[in-house]
Amino acid sequence: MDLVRDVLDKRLLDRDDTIIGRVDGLIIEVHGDSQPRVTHLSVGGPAVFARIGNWAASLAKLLGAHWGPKRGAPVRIAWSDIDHFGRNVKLTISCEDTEAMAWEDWIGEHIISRIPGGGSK
Amino acid sequence: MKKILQLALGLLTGIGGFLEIGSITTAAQAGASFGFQLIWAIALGTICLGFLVEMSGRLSAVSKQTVVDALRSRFGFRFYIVVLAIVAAVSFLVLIAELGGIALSLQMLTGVGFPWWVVPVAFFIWVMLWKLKLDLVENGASALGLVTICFVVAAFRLHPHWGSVAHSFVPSLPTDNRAKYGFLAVSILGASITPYLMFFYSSGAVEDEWDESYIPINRFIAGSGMSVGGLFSIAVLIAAALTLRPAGINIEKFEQSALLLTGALPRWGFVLFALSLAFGCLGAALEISLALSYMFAQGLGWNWSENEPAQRDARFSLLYTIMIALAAIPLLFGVDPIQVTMISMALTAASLPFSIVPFLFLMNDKEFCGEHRNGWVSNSVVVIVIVIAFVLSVIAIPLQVMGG
Repeated sequence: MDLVRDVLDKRLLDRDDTIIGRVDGLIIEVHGDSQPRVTHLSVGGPAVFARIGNWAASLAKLLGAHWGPKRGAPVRIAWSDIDHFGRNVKLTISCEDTEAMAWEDWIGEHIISRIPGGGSK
Repeated sequence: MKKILQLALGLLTGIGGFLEIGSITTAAQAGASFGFQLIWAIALGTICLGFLVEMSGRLSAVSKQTVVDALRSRFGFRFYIVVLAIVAAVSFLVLIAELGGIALSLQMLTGVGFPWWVVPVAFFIWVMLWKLKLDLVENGASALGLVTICFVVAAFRLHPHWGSVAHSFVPSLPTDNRAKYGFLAVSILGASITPYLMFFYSSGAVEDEWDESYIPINRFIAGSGMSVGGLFSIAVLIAAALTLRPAGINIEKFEQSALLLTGALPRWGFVLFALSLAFGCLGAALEISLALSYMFAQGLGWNWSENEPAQRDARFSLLYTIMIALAAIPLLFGVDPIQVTMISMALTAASLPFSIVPFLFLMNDKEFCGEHRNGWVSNSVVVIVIVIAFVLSVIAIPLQVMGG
């Protein structure tokens, strides 16, 4: 498997096929002399901002500290929660089990639901 | 049965949704300044657009992904973000122009200055996206856009010399005013080849769950929809050449350029011109607002269905809300929509290599298009037109800027 070609930037689907983001980064552990091991996928900020540049990461950190869902750690998904790879990366877990939708939920709750008519079409 | 309906609706979108402020303004200016001579540019741009729209539908039918999805997956984040920045910036300018076009048409109909119309117009567009499903938004606007057929009627009633019209499909250079001629050719190409349309169309294909069985229908919709649309643009140019040019009117105020229709349709021409502008721009403004949101949402992995209530795809809905609001601001301060149009059309042409070349790589990639990859004909047509548009824009835009 080629990590950059087959995993990085692919769309992430949870077990119910909800789009929960894209693979914005890979977390690799290195222990002493043993082979490096991919342990997690990272989703959304700050991984995604770091890929634009350090300035974007700092800016996002600054804004995130004052505004938004204020989730604790960056969203990571364990390699063992991956079901299979293909056009998308399919997971065995539900989006509820992660904080990947924190922004979607926060914007929905704090902004969209306060505008009339956002709940139906 | 479902496919026949989709075929009809696809044609409706191609025809009723083709003319907007960019194609009307550039074609009218070309006709007013150079007679029939620039018809070749419309033909060239429309052919290229037809190929590109067909490709984006085919990509989505085969790979079940939108163009933006595929761009990010194939080229990675850093590349995607550069393409996104360029295409989004240009498309945003076009959105300003389309909002301005609707506001201008209301100014024509009521006499109340266009800045007063900007807020109600922006609100109306936003409500349509907020409350209506994709099919209704798309087909409703396109059905209203059918009023633009009045340009075709006008062109026929003015009895152009069809021999000279046919002759103008072959490019030629004017004896003087070449800088302006080049700039208009670039603007026409930019007005015809609109990358946002590809993103919009491929998102629609994914929402409608196209599969490979849609490839023939897609080809027919793209081919015939775009060519009839292109004929509408040519009709605008012909009408302008036969009415505005003899009167010495250059399209700086739409009130004057309504003569384009009043010459052939004295009673209803003025109202029809305003309505064509309003409905044409309405369809385009809706498409661009959605396309802008699709570009971000699909690339970043957000939910993005226009068929879901706003609550279900909060980030996507917030994005078009912000875009429409931002686009209204410069118009409130009286920025001239026709100038924004001319600038944004030329910039679209200059930006084409950045949006189209990566797309062509996708269309030749086995992983995305399998056995339905591009053949040499479609590759060559698009590459040739993009190169022409880019070279012309690199020459003509600086000349236009320096010449004022």
